[in-house]
Amino acid sequence: MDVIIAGLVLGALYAIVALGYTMVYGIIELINFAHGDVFTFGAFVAIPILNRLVNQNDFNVPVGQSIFAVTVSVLAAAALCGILGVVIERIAYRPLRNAPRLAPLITAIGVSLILENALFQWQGGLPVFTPVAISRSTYTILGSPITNVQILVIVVAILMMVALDLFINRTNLGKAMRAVAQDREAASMMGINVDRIIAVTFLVGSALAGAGAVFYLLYEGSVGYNSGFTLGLFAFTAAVLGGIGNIRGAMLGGIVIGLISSWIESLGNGSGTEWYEPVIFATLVLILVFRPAGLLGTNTTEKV
Amino acid sequence: MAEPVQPPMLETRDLSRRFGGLTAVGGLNFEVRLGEILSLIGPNGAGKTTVFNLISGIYPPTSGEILFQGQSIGGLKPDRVRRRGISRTFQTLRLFDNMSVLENVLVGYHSRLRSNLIGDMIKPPWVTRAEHEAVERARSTLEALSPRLLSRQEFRAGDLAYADRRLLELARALVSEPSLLMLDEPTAGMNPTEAAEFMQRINRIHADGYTILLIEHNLGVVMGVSHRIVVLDYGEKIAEGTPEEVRQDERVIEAYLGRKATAT
Repeated sequence: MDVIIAGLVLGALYAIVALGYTMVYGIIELINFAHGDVFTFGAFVAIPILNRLVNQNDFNVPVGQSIFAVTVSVLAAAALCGILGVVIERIAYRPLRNAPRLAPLITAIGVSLILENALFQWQGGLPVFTPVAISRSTYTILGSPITNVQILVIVVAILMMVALDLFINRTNLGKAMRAVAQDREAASMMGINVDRIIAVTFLVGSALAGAGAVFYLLYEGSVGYNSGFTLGLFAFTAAVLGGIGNIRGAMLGGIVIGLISSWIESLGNGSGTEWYEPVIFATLVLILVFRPAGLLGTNTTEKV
Repeated sequence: MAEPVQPPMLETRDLSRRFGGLTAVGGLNFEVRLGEILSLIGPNGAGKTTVFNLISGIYPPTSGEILFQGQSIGGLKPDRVRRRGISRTFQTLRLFDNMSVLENVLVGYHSRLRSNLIGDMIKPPWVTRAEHEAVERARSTLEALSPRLLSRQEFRAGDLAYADRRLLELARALVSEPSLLMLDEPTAGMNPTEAAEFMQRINRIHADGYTILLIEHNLGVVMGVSHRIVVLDYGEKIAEGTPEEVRQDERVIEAYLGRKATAT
């Protein structure tokens, strides 16, 4: 049960990041390798805000102060990450929209390296710690301890995914996104401004990563300049597992990857921690070899 | 048919498009008059679809001008062209297969809606009202075209029968009430009965006040519905006139009908 709780929390975070990969892939068939670094950027934005808004030496933060600090940092991180995502698309990907697919892919790796090094220059190579923004309290579910932060992460992740699902399936912009994902040219002939829809996709995906980064921070307590890149690779694996381009697949894939990694970590009295990375990437290879369309990939053309 | 006293709905002036060394359309001049059905015909590879792609903005003209209601639209992006009031269908169907029938038509209405991220997320009353109006319009468009399609509004577009898919594409083009409707081989793949039905439908749409530019291979349909015909060969206009005039034009017989006759 402990393993499942930890797995769900981790999986929820992977799922949120995986959504960004899968949305962008769905709409322009690009693996946006910079997405993980946008996530780190979100965490780095949140740290000074949390430092300012909560007393760093106080382990008993009043609830009101916690809510305020977390809300402000989530909004700031989501907004700035959203803008960063849009800027990256505008500068690095849009000029290559009609180039062969390898060109934007390599560019995405380049953008990732640039961001990572910029983040390194900004905060240095050591992990940056955050103050305790929410005082821990522990509950028991089915005999296993669960902290309020773990509950928060799971609940917020579910809310974000439901909101995104409604946005894509119920709103006019969401409909336009699905149309662009299926047939960009036909969509544009329906009066849909394709450039704008792609920008909105980057905005939403990156904002989700920014918000997710704050909750990662609350849960893990620290972040390094390359944390997002590693987490991004797991999230990418999750997106592929669910069927890249498929929104609900990314959510499912995230949870599954989270559960697998926390299960592997729990094996062998803790020596499993050295093994979860190889196992997850081996999973990636196995999916690509045996089921490239992913778990929910039966309708391969459903992209966003 | 009214006499052409009004300015043309659409006019091309020396319109050309080259792909590398190939001239797909060369120095084309023609006009579509308000309220008429004009057909563009010609042998395969004559440049008909290229003309449609130029007008709808898929690619810009190499040279020359396209005037729509007196304003230049050459080189505008497709979404701008649609917002000006030109809709089209495709020779090969391009529906959004994974969306429902109703959603496909709603996407066609997109050009008439203004949406933004915040409005879509918060959904203030005016956004909800506009969405309801859009659904009403989409449903009435479907109903006018085919009650059967309306009864299948929740079906996946990809699951429809072929003739229904053709109709759906038409509904998607009509829902925004375009000033000019461009149909690219709407009867392709239909049997003679279906084609005849479609012809009646085109006449009915025209009776509703639409100006129509048609590409069509089925000469029966062309001769039956067109007010005027423009004949293309190798990207150039070789004849223009009423169905009667075109039928008797020697260059047309030689370039189009003659070649077709020898081929069959």
